[in-house]
Amino acid sequence: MLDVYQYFKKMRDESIILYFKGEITNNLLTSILQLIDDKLERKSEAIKTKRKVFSILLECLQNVYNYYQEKEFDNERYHSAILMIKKTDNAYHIVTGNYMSNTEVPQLRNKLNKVNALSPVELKAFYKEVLNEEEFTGSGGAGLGIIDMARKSGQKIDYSFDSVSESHCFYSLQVKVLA
Amino acid sequence: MENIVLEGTGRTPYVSFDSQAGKLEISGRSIPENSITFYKPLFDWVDNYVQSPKDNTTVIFNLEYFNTSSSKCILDLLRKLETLKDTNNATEIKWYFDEGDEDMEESGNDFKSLINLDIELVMK
Repeated sequence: MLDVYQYFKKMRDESIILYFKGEITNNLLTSILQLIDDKLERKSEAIKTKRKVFSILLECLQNVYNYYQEKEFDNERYHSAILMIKKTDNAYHIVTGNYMSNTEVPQLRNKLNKVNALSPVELKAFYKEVLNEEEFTGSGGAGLGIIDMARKSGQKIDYSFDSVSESHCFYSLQVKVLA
Repeated sequence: MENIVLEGTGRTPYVSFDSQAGKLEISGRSIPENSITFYKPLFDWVDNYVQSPKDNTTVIFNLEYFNTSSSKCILDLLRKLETLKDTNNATEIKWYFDEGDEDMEESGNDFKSLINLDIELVMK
């Protein structure tokens, strides 16, 4: 028996605005951004909320996209990622998940912990310091993405690293925007 | 020197760099994955322009979105324009933001504090 309606109800009840699992290609990135642009356009939220949701989604997606571009994992399974946007009563939640090499976890974890420990004023200063002083990474991100997300969100960033093999883990990130 | 006019796309901004008028404008969305590729020709243009600038230069940033990759390029572009101050050429830089878009206003303030040029924040 088809259980589409069960899926539909589950997604409706959890207020899922967008859900995607698979490889994030350049074309897909364009499509997702257009889609979410249209969806946000029709919402009655304040302009600052819409802009924050779009900006954070954009950084999340480009982080995942650029990471996979650089890594080119041999195992095709590791090319897949997840993206979800849901709206609860008082907030939008932007969620991404992607595979990552274990060797990169400590540095990323440190950065996330650092950003989560900073006050808004300290985050602003840290953002400007990195913007002003650090060289570009290969994909041009300069490591600003996470700081920018934390700044725009104004909330702690939730994250986890689930072990999937001796060499890889699954990195999940959730960023909140209060509506 | 040749002017630059680029139509905006979903990911790249409208650009109009006019050396005769001394007017530079970047508007719309600057969200390419690799902004260096997009900004490189603009950097080269500004490097040329500051060699023989107009007495008055107007620079307009009228952005809806820019990603962190572009923010570094915008800063570099502004750094190149700082040269105009050294040569005593008048420069007017305007940073537009929509009413209520506090992040875009904040970004204007960030650049203002990092650059030795007057940046006027203008609410639309």
